[in-house]
Amino acid sequence: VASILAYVDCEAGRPGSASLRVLGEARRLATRAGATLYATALIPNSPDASGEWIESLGTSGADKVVLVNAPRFAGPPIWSTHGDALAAVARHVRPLLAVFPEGAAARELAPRLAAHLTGAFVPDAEFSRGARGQVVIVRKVRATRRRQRLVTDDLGQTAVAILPARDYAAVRGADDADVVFFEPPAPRHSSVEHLDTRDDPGRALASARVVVTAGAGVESAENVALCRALAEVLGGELAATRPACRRGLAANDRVVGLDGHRVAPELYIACGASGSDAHLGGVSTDAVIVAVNRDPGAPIFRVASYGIVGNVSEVVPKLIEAARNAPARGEVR
Amino acid sequence: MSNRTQLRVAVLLRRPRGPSRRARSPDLIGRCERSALAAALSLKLQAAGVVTAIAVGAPRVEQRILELALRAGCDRAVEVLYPGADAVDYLGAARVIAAVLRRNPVDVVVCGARSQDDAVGAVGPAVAELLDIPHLAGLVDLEVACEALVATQRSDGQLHRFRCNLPLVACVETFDRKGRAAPIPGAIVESIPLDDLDLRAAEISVRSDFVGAARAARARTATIVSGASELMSRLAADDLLGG
Repeated sequence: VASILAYVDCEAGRPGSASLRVLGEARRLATRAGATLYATALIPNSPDASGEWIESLGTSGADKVVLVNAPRFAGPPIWSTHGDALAAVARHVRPLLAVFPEGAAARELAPRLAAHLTGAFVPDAEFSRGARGQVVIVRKVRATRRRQRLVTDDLGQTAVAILPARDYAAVRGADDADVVFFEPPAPRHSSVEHLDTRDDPGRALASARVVVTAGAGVESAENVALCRALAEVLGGELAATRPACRRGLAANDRVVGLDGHRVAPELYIACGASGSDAHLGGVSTDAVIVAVNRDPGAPIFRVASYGIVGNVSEVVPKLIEAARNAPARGEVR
Repeated sequence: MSNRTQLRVAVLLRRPRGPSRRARSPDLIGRCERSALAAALSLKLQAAGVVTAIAVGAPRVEQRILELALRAGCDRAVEVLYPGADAVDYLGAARVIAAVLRRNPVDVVVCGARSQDDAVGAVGPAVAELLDIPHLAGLVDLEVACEALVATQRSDGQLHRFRCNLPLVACVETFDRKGRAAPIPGAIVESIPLDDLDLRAAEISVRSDFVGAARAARARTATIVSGASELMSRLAADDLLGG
């Protein structure tokens, strides 16, 4: 029987909401493929104290819950502490597919697990049904506007996929998942030691529902202040592109892009940004993008959902005013 | 590092590809590769290290980025001549790089977190797996501390610091320290034919089944709205306004 391994990211000792949503998506996939779904959690605390949320993994769709318990799992999820245990579980389960919710743990663990299993690796993945009913993994690539398809049935080997933490439809499972306790192997690499953790100055960007970004085209600190005001009226956060920071328009800790923060807002308003691959590579492919740019030929208009052609200094004040008068969520007039 | 006077650093570089496999990107160096290069050269400045830039590709494809690395202060530049490099997946590329590093062992391998074209950001972790050494992803700072490195990782709104004994594969997301050294006079790009690396054909065969078929997504154009009020109405209709 084929199997699917779903990595469960634990936040403060409990499964994170993104993990549960991805688990639901994996459940649908497992049902379609006739596979057994293993939810795998690496926990630092005693499994006895985890009964409530173990049940939640069952109700979220897991057939089996694999618990691996060791004190070292209390630290940040890095391969040196978590990898060997995860790899051992994967070798035991022999999954057709391993799925991770998007986030730091996935970035750290998923590609190396793929290499360990000599499997395919698919970030930004979504699933669809092929012509023969087979499972197809599609990778959306915003930067080059391409999609890649990977049919698991044809592989015969494991694929490791990272799923965006979007709102997949909820799944109601049987809530009687079998629990398997797995003894972790000793870590092979003990040469990486966690020293300390502090808040990232730009941490609010990671969870912002609305992000307003100032590109180099905003040109002045006054226009950046307008972007900040728009972000505030929309209940969002101000960000910037790397070229805008290089021009001294914003702080480095606000950069969105491949060399900055990855953001996954519902609404992303890019002001005076051309829409380079390096910038948009840091924006979730699920975000609705609004572009404000005076150049109608700017590449960002090819990826945005909505656009306004005009100068930031003229358009953004009107957006602020309109946003103040706009109906709130669920109150469309 | 205790018996060596110099920190040996390798930095993995790759010229960004264009929107199609045949098109060249206008960028000679991508954002992540720029960060990786800055991090490697910062380590050289901090520890009197020796930096080797490594790239894998068809002849001449990677030549210019390696020349740029030499101008920026790398001590050596090695180009592995592999005409099929663009067609292999992350693991094929990692196997070639790991073979180079087995012949020329280093203390730190620095690479970008994820290139700005459609690369998946998995080569660094895969190289670490093949060499059986630790890796850290999402790094924003690297500092030499005695005979180890202190690495700072950005992770879901937090910054974690780790002390890392060497060797290590460091996947750098962004890097703000000074990363430029004086060029080494007379340094040139060295070429290594793939055949010299003693790789079995099966290890680097084109894993197209794994890569999957790529096709262009449907072209789209933004809906250009007439003004702020229309935009807000549309966003409200899409349930994107309000908390």
